[in-house]
Amino acid sequence: MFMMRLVLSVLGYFGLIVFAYIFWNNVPQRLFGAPLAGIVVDRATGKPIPGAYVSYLWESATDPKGFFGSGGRDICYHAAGTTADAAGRFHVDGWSEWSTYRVTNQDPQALVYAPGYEATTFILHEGSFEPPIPRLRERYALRSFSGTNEQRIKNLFWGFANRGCDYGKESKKSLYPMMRAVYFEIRPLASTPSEHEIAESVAGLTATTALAIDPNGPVQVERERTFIEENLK
Amino acid sequence: MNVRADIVVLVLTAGLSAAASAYEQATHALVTKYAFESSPLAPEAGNLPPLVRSLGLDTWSPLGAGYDYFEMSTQFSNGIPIAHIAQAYEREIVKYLGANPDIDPIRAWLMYGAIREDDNKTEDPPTPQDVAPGLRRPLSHFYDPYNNLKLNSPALADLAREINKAPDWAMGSPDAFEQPNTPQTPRDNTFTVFDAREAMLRALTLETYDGSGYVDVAGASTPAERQRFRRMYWATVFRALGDVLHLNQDMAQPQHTRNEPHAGKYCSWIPRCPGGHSSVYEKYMKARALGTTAFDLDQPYNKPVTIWPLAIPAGSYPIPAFASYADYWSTGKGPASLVGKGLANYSNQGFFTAGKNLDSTEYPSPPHHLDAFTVRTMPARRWDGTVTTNPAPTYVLFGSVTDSWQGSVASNVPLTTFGLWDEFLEKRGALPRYTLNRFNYDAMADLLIPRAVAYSAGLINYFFRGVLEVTRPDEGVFALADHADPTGFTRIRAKLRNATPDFAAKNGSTQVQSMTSGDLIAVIKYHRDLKYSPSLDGVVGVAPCDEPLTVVIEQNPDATTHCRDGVEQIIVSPPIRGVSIGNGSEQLVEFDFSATPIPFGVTDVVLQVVYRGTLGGETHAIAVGSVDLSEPTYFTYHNATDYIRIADRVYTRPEVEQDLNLISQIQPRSCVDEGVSPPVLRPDCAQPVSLDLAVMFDEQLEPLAMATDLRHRRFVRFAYLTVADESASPPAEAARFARLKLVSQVHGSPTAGLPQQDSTCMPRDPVEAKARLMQVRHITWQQYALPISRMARLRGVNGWTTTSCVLNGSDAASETPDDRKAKMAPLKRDSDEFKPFPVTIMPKYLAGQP
Repeated sequence: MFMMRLVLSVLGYFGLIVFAYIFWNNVPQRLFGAPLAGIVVDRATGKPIPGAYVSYLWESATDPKGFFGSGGRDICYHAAGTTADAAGRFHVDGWSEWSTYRVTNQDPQALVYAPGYEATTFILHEGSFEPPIPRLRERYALRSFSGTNEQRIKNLFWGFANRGCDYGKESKKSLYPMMRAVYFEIRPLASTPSEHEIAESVAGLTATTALAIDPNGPVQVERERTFIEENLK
Repeated sequence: MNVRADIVVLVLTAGLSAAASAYEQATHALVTKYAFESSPLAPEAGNLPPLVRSLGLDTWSPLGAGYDYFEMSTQFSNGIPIAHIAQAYEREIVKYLGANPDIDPIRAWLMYGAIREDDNKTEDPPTPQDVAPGLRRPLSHFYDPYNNLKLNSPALADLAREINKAPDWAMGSPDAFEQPNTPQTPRDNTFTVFDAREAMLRALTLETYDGSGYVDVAGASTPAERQRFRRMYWATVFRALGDVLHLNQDMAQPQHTRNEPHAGKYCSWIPRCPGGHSSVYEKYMKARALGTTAFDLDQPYNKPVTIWPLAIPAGSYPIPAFASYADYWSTGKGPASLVGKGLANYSNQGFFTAGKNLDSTEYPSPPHHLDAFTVRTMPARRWDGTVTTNPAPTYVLFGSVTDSWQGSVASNVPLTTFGLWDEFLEKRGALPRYTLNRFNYDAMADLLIPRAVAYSAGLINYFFRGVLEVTRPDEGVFALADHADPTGFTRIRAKLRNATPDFAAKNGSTQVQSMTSGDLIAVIKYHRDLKYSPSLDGVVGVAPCDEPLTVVIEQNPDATTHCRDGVEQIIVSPPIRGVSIGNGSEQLVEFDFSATPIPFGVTDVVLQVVYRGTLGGETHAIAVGSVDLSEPTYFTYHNATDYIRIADRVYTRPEVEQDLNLISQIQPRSCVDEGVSPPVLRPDCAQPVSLDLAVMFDEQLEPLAMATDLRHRRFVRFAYLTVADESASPPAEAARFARLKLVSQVHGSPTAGLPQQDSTCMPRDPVEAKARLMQVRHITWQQYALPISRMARLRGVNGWTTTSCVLNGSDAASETPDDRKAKMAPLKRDSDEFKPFPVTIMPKYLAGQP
């Protein structure tokens, strides 16, 4: 009797582990972003910057599926881009979707760009990871840019235009207006071969953003080229 | 055993198996980009470098459309490849680094491989997967040189089969150190050195070695498909090599050489974070690679970290030149590891890790006693550069890092930090501990990343070290054929010199890279001349195919025009087996193309010679030499002694006979019968002659081609292949063979040469013999020149270098021009006159001849 109970107990525990394993592996989670709104201003004068581009990237390291998940890559799983109105104000709706992506749902980073100002990334939340919360009084103060063409290209590209949102699916299309504007600012500034190559990279990234190309799909070189030819020349 | 224990074991297994992330993919891609730029594959002053030309990759789209490649699977017989398409994923990452994949396909594919080596089937969203079922590739990204171990933990026993030492995984060998030339068959990893080598052989020849001979691997595919396959194999070479570089770059991450998992998993469930802490160093390096101002950390930190941007240093560390692949990982085990020269040796003995810091005694170096360090008190500076207002300082321990390869020591390196602060200088704990913060990681990166770049560049150099210099034989041409015979070229003769540079053995001595008992294969690459006709009436170089843009479409040289087939084809010779060429030695070789002769109707001709065999310590190495050949270059010789030159004009005999003014100029005067009125030409003078001809280059005594009894109104024409670019190295030798010497004499005449009074030949001997060109000659991948040689016509016959001999009727100086080109009537078409008269070709150039 004791042995039977022991065996049942072990089987029960084992079943629990198997159930937990399957459950852990396959249950989608609800990913969401809270509403975001605010104003973009000139840091020196405090005046609003109409037409400033505000793009949010929801990013996370991937948490491996099941017990064999790895300390995986960092991915961007959602994007939302908008433009400030005449008063420098902007608003981004909240969003929600079910996803199998094993990511940590948290506040996004904000990428803010306006011609003549330093392209700047704002971290919305510091400290431990927390789920997104509505942030309707954001204030992004941009510093006027002063520097060489080379410095400007670096400012616009590194850590900014080279972010993209690979796994943002259709949402990454919202980044297109900002990417396009950045590209058209970089292109005439480029003078060295490496700067021209950066400009071409931005064109490519702009195209893949606009086309919402699936990173796990085959490369779509011709689609990209056609898009650039038709929209970025 | 209770339930909790069961769970722990299972989770431990899972956690550790997942613990194998390495430098992040963007970091690998950037290091690979830097390595490429330090390697001989990188452009030189904006031009394609010699190595790229030697590999034959100085063509349009040499690696294909940018996405097709093969997986060299050993799961099937004889490595039948599986076609794959690159994913948008790797292309995006390359662009994130400011590199356009379309500008340099070699760089792109190396970076693709470096990215895709991290394929891991357990992620969602999934990483792309090449093999099915997918692999946990990162498990094999570790190598502890001190203990000679792969990623190792009792909890990983269930996954032992999946885990390999990084150098073994990179080589594709069961033991990269002890059996470097033995491929593991079958093997899970199909992007190894062995696979890159096999792909390279196929890319060059479309053949593989089946154990007894070389067999075609494309079957009866169309020329276009065969070209596509070759390009896919080239893409595979660089893709696989990129994977290999990734595996070496991981050795510049001390957690990968000190057996420290860093999955960042299960820390909240199980004490002490059994899968290892999330790697701060790797996440931080990725942020630096991309220039971002923040990065996220997994367990146990679970937080974003804000930083100021700081570029990753490429550095200028000397590029190692070790004589075996494994040495780039490690040159010594156990205590010998501490003075080893491999990258794993360096990082293992030189640096602490988050989990194996100074208070760990697992490794003897860096030392774990304080007197080996200089301790300095420093304010606690956070990762974003701000200094905390809390006055509690940090104690930074500065030590030395020894570089046994360079024999140098980096002093005052901040190897670790001691104090109450956490690694982010944000929280204070109750007890002091050793941590690594940004200050320490920056110092690590300054030393490790430039070495990762240099070691990767060294691996590229080593893989492509085999250099064959291909030059012309003494006769001055690579191939020679009578154009009266439609067969084409049946033999290639060339001098080969083993110009492979020396590499260093483990003990520092020079290891000469001799070629031993290998096989030589000649490959002729060409495009078909679609207008070619044996009469040369139609050929590239003759209207309408005499303008570059009628021959090639500017935007796409791959496209076929009505003049030139856009597809590059190859003809491969049978191998010459058992060849040994000592380093620096030269050898004359003859390749037999009699089974598949090289046709006359070709453009863009390139000769590649491929050596496959032992090179230094590698048994199945490949060495390549290429020479850009001329297009079939024609020498035509007309016996035009049916014409008589008087002063600066030529005339037919009837014209002379009817013109007293011309007769009055005839020399010698003995040829004129002045005993009659009006005077007439004597019948035995100024009559057409039959000629014997011998042609050779400059001082060569042995004729290349000979014709006997060449009657008037007939011509001979032979074709040869020489160096296309006379400025190519070695230029002195190229220039030496730029002139053809002619010896012609009246058939049956005992005199050695044709006396001037008998004839005058234009142009005069020696004849400038320029190479005939029609080729897309790339300056960069996107820019190319299009030299095209236009054919000249004489007597209705198209030719390239053309000499004609007429009778000399007035002692005219032979070097002065005359009007023969315009004056001489065309030869009769549809008659023997219009066909080349047979010439005898030097037997050395005919297959089957001694």
